[in-house]
Amino acid sequence: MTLTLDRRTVLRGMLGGVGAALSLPLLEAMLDDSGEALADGSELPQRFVMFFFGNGNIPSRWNPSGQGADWELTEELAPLANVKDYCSILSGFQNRCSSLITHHEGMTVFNGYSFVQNNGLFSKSGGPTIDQLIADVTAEATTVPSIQVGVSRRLSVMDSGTTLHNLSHRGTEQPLPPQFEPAQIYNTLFGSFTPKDDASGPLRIHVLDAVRETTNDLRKRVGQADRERLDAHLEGVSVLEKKIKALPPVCTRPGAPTQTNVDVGGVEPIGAVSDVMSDLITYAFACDVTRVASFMLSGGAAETVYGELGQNGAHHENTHNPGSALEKINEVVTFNVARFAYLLERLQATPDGDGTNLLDNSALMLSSDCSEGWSHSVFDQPIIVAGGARGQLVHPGIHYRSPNGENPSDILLALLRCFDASATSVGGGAPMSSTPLSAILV
Amino acid sequence: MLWGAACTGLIGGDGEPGEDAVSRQTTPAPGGLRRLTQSQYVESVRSLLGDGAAAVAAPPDDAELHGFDVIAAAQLALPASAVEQYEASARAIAKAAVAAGAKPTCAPTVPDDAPCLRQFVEAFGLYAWRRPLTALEIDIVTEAALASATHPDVSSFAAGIEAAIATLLQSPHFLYIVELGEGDGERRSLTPFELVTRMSFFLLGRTPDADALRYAAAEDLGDAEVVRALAREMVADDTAKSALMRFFAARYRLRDLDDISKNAELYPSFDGALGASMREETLRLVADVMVERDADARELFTADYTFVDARLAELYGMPPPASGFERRSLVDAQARAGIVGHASWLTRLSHPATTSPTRRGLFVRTAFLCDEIPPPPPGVATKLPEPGPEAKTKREQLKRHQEDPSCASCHRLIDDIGLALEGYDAIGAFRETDGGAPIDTDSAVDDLGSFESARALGEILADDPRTMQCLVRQLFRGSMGHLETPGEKVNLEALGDAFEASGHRVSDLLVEITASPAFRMVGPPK
Repeated sequence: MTLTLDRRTVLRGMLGGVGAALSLPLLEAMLDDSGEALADGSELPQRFVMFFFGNGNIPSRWNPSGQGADWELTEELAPLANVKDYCSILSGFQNRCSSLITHHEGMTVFNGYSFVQNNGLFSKSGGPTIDQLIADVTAEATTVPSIQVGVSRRLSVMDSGTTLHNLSHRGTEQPLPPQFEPAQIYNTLFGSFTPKDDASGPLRIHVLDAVRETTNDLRKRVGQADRERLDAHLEGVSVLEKKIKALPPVCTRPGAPTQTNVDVGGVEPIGAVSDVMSDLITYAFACDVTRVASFMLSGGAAETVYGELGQNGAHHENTHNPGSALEKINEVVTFNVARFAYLLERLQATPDGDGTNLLDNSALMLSSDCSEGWSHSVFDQPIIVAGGARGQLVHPGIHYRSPNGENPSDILLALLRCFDASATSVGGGAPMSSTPLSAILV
Repeated sequence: MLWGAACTGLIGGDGEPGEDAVSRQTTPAPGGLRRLTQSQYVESVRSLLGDGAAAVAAPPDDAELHGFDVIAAAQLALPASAVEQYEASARAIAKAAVAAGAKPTCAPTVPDDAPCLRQFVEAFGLYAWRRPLTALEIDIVTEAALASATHPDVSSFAAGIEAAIATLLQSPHFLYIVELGEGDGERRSLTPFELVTRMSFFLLGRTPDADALRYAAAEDLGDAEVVRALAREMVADDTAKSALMRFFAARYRLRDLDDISKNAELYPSFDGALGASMREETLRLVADVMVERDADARELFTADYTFVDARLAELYGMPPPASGFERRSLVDAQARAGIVGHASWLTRLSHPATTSPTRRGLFVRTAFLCDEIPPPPPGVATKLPEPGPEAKTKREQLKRHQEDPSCASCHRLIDDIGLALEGYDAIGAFRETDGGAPIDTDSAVDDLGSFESARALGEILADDPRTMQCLVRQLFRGSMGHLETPGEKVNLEALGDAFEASGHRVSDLLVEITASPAFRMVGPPK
């Protein structure tokens, strides 16, 4: 049986050469008799997206007044109107990061560790981010373990480490830098596949084998830190090898994107790039090329100027002037939420077999590096959990306001358990959690 | 290069009398692996296989730690996507190289002429991996090459060469600079190949060429004078200037000047091209002082001239050159001097619409003086009075930084430096008012004294011994890819003394760094 995607999924000229509709790899034909697993016995796929924008929100215009299932969209959440039932708003959490630099500590909301090696305006991640813990669970089933999307290139000058410039980290010494060009993301997802009769595939594997063999001796001679780096390098070799050996995805691949991430008349094309990245993520999930993405719309403490909104001052600077620039801050936060809403709507519009859509079978988490930018507070950072996670996340979504400043790592553990029921904790030190947030779990 | 001529008469000396003391007191930093930076990779490919191959080289982006790409390259692990980029890059390079005629000196008799492929692997491997390959390594690479040479669909000797190049360039032995030294103590001398490699990447920004590798094999690099002789040859090479310019472009935050934005209403003249001109101005002054004239490096802070193109001339109010860049005297009334008055960093460390005395002050502290400034204390609200009738100028808006005790202990050391530079707006143009109010640029900072302009600050910086010590420290960090360790401190002191004694000639400093014990040794691998 062949499904075609909703017409809305045919990309609006942003991806070149997309004429034919897609056929999806994951169809009823591939399910087992009960429809609860794939025919080969593996679990039905779930996807995860970690979504970030820098410089916080305006809590008074973000947080709904009602709680539980009884809540209304607020000014800054208004763009979520079409997908409200898929969203839970989580407020009133208190980040436990044990030291503060400003902005750096907010990034730890995604990993449950305090940052490390801090030295002035320098820090590194204390451990792996939640997307990478989930990728460790899902990687075996797909050719690409995870992708890291970046949109605004205007990163902060206030970090000489890795914390503010990278959303995903596999460990303290392995930040995963975002790819800012749609063509890069496209290559990561769909490049390197070789048709079965192409001789270059096996020959490239020969070369990769040789690369591995030449590394063995070196691996023994270096110290622990470099051995870990070589192991990460060899893990990359294995990922590539798997990709070369894999059959091209069953679905029709989209054409290479024509949208580039280059300023037009001094204005960053944030909206267009963001939306084409969301389209690519949707394709990747539909084709089951990867199940995990991180999405850095702007960096921590980013220097982004939202020229598209008619602004010509930096958003970060504006967030320190809430008196005169409050409406500008609000405009940007709302625009950012609309970019997230676009991704949710694309996932919702894409069937995923058995009457479900991709959003039903995904979990997403949105946050920022602080609540209000002028105080850099990490109490009440904006947090949205979205998607159904195959019926594991509460639906319709709720507004849960923590009565006592709970640990946001509880949210991470709840999400991880949607992918790995045996997970017992996330993070380490003061921000560690061993108590999943039950309010969002069914 | 004529190495022989350079070292005649030098071999056999035991170095300076003081050198042994420095060496004895040195505990070298750990050895290990340093990944090639983007430019080191591309320039190495150029040196190994020519411009055509370099043109298709596409290594992954650099990261930075502490502002240094080479420090990130010594610490961070690669994401999987980077390994894929290296593969694609190596294949493209190999293809271009074979198309341009890369081949062994032997003549293959059959497509799968294994001895001839082997000979190529051995010969090219020496240059690519910067040391002779072991027999096992030659076997491994030759086997991968033979698989291509004999594959029924491909079946050509050239395909074997292509695979050999692609394998050698994807191996960690090419992608990482290996510095493990000899022996197993706390102080291990770099092998001659490792030392020449470290020197070449530092001074020339690329892999050592055939002459340098021959030198490593033939000469006694345990002798500091022999090291100096090789270093002098390298410093005299044209490539050394490009490597040094790349280094200072990063130090002075010039790299992304063509990719920042300014408020279009307030600064309609600013665009990427103007940003690029600003970068060029600063690099030309650095090159003029440190390379072309090989003058006292302190002139970087006191020069009464600069280099401008037509657009910069307009910004500074100078007569425009007919074309390109020309040297011009500074406009006296703007009270600039050297790099301190350059639009480049003044622009980069401003916001889109306004200046930032705090960021400019922080830059002077960190980039010129190598100070480390702690972050704001926990829980502090960074809300300052906004521009308005009560607080028109930055000095008025930043008053809280001076008066609130939780801010003042650090901000007094930072903001006042920037406030003296308020006469230069967010794109570095001269101004006398801000928000309609006259600007007060009088500043006094505990450890620097009183000053009220770029010129006055430049003179203070030139006279402050910390400024040249900072330059030494930055080049030392860049040379090996790590922040200095306590066990290396004595080397920095000796280098500072030698730099001063040489009249602050950077060419001498570069040579002395390579001859210092910390540079020639490593500790146990990290």
